[in-house]
Amino acid sequence: MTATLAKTAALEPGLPVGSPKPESGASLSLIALLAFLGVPLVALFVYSISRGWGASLVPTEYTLDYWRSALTSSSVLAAAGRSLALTVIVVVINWLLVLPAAYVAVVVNPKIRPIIHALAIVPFALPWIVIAAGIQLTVGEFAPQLFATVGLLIFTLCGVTFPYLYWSFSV
Amino acid sequence: MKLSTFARSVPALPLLLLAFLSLLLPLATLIFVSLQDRNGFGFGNFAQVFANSTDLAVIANSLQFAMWQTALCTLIGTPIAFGLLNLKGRARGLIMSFANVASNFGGPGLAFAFTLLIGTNGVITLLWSQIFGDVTFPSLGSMVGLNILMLYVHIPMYLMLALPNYAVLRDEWREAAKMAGSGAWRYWQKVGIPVLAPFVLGNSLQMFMWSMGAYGVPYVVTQSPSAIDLLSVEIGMGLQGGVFGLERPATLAVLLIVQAIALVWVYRVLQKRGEMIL
Repeated sequence: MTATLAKTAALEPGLPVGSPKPESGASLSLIALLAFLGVPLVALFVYSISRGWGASLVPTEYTLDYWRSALTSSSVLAAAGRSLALTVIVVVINWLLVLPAAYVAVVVNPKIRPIIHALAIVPFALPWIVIAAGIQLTVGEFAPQLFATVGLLIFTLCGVTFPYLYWSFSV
Repeated sequence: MKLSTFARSVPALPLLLLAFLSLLLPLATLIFVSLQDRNGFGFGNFAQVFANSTDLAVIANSLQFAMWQTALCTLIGTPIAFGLLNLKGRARGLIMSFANVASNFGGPGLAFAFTLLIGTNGVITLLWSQIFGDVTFPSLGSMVGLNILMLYVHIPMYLMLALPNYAVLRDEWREAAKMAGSGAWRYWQKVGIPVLAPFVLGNSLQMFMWSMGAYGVPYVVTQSPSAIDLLSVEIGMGLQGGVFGLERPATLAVLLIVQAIALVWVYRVLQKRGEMIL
């Protein structure tokens, strides 16, 4: 559809084009977007390879020391490993729970679709801090021994992320 | 023998159980706690929040922040979305992938990156003071700073929401309008804007909801005393502190729940209207 649009515009430059702004304005906005999204990432990377970038516009000295120490630090590696493991566990649990439920909702019993839909909207509409607050109060009330456990973290993450997988089936 | 529909629905139960325990039960607890005050059961906690000038200021800050984010995302995101639609599929895909990566780079990492740019000794802050002298660049934790920071996350989100919507305008409509002798302006006035309006409003509502709940990044940059306080951050702090009891954070959280329910309802109405036009 866009290909036709570009072609007509090229062939008949004098005729009104669908876009509300002139082409140059649109591409200018794209360049601005890329700059806005790119510059902070570049700044972060440059800072990671600079030594003492204080009150100056550009770093005075460059080094790979911080990368070396980060990549050899056992606590950094352990934390990265934990994050990765946590992510994999949450993804696997989500697949195991969402796939059968989506199958049931589509093939077996469409009556439960509105229920799952309504539940799967909650993490999109409600701030996660509200959900976390609710879980903290609930756990404090019913099962305080679960506080600060890996299990509770995995459970909470599954609760707020399953809708992403569920909606991707777009049932 | 054929199993009953109920028996064959059992595979859906684990997910329903998870959603019930992780989403519904916690929300019920929040509402229950917020309705408990010194005199027993009632709206005392809400009355207290609305009588407290600090809490009112926090609510006003969050509303103001969310309105700014919504307006900025719509105003900045719309021309970018049309620019993207004018691109060929592959270039658009590349830019959207980049935007997707960027919008997932939230939290402390993003706050740190922006500290390097517009923090006290940030590159842009230094350049700014060299050019404008005494007029200082707004700090990260101010309303302006926070808005700049969160646009980084919210503009890509807005684009992901808006691109499929803006693509519903069909070429034939524009060609038909052109054949009937209509100019670009008239086409937008009579066709483009009326068709897109429900979708654009719906996307704006979604941005508003997300902005009201923004937590991670604001939490990092609003720790200084001069920074503004947001409702979401206040809830998080209240949970950690717990000195004044958990009724106050629960009450503030319930206010966000009420807001979300109202907005989801309006969103649904808008969505139905948009689908009716198509």
